[in-house]
Amino acid sequence: MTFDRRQFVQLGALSLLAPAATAAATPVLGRHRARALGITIGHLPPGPLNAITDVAGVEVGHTTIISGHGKLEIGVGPVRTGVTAIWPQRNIVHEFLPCGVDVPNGNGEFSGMLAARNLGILNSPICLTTTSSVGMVHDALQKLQPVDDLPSGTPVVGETWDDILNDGVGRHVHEKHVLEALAAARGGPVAEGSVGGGTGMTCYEYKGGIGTASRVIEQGGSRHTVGVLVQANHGLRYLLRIDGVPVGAELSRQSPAEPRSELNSALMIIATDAPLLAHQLQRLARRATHGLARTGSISSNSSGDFTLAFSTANRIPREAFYRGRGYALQSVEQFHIFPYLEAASEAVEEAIINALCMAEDMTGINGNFVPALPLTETLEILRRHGRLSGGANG
Amino acid sequence: MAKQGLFKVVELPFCQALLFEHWDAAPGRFFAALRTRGAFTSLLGNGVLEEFRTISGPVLLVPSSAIGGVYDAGLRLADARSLDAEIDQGWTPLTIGIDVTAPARPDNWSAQFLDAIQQEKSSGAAPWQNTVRDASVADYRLQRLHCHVDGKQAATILATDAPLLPQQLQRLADLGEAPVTIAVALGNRLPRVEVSELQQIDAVSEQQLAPLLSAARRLTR
Repeated sequence: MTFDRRQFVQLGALSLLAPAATAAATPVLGRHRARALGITIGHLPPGPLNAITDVAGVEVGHTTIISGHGKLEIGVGPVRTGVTAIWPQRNIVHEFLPCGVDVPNGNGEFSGMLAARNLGILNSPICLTTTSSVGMVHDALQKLQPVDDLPSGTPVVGETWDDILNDGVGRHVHEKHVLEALAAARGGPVAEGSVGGGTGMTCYEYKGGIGTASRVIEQGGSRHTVGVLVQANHGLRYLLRIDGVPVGAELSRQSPAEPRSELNSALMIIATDAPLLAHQLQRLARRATHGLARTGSISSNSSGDFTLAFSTANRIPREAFYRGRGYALQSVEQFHIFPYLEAASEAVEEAIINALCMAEDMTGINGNFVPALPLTETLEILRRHGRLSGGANG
Repeated sequence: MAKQGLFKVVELPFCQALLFEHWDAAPGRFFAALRTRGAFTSLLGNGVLEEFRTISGPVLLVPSSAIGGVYDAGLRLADARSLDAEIDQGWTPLTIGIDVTAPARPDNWSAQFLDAIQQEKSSGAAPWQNTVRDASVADYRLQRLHCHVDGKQAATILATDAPLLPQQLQRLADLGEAPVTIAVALGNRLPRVEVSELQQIDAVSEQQLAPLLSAARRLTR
């Protein structure tokens, strides 16, 4: 999507004349990704799509389930939920990939962590969904695993809690939704905001959901990509920072958030085509926390914040992994790993901001309303701090 | 000095060093893993091991009350190797404290210590008991050193020439029943390479790893 920044600045200036509350509830502008709005996170260049799918072979699909309005009736709705599926590569159940995990705060569920820690491998598609659907999604993914005399792979399912807007207890995600998301997965642009597993999610007390970003690293004659996808459902409004600016504190003065539970979490998936081994990917995963923190999160006591990082560069055939005569791998020398760590941190930060910028207002159970991040006010704050690129700082 | 196959043991009356290669080898690292149990806390140099999952110098064992001085001597050894003191040149010296009364050290103990390691020559015995056992598993060897104090395990070092990855080594180290267990795989030596080059790594399958784990279980008891 292209955006005429000059036109936006004119519109933005006009919108500032409108009452703040009205502007917050009904943004004048449509939703746009951070870079299209003039927000540039970090200094490494993004890939062509600025998405996790910039890593060749990675595919993403969403199933978004939205139905009903009004009072919560468990098992009926309203429903604001879904599943996001990531294929690290289509043949993942037969050709494993090295992976690493990190847990900034573990009050949640993220299956597959033990396979990552003890075996250092990823051997399943990754699905992100709502808290109460982990078991069902896990079982659906288990059915994709080959059945023979070798050990079965470990489904990877992460969850965040969408019960502010969604009838979570009603368990509206079913196996067909998982299969639809897996089947719909493609390379290319990734839908963001209130889609898939991010449909009912809340981030810094604004509407959150799915976000993505990427970074390209060129060194030693090689070109590698680090791509990130987040399911952003974390943070309190006053904590939000965008590109180092305490946007949330200023927005809270204009429009305080209603008191809500801090039961919320962030799931961060990092993909790279750089040849990194499991222990190096764990280091990459740990850097996601820095990107998360730059957006203001401190990983609250009740957060289920999880990161999984995988590399598509070394493919380990299942047979060789379990009972072959060994296999060969390649890896980036530790002395040259810094740009990848930086890329992971930057891309996580931008992916979270993209989730906020792309998500729209949503009303869910019992009329609960979660506003979208008010872009007009946000950009005005960033402009005052000199943080808009492309001459939009005025 | 006792030559023990996968590692060499250099002993002095106040400390002990396990060398996996000559102290002044070209920059390079071996994958390593660490497991501690219970209330054990007397350890220096573990940060680099846990971050990079590698080791590049000797493992030093010393009475806990003298751990700082011996760590510092280990740092001098790394400085003698290279003033850059990188993670493939002996930074940081992994130094394990053993809960035992420290014997008196001569004034020139630090010079004695460095000389013993550089010459790979023992002079006396450390104030704890050592037992070394080894096993052969298919194509690979496994060797372990137990340090005992009054019949109780104080530390275990496991070494193998199998090319185990860090997560596989961790499973080996986790079998250790001593307060601290270090596992080192010599099957991949990671030399320093230019930015345009990649490290070439070998790995074993789960089927190859299983008997190594069984052997390690027997050796660590």
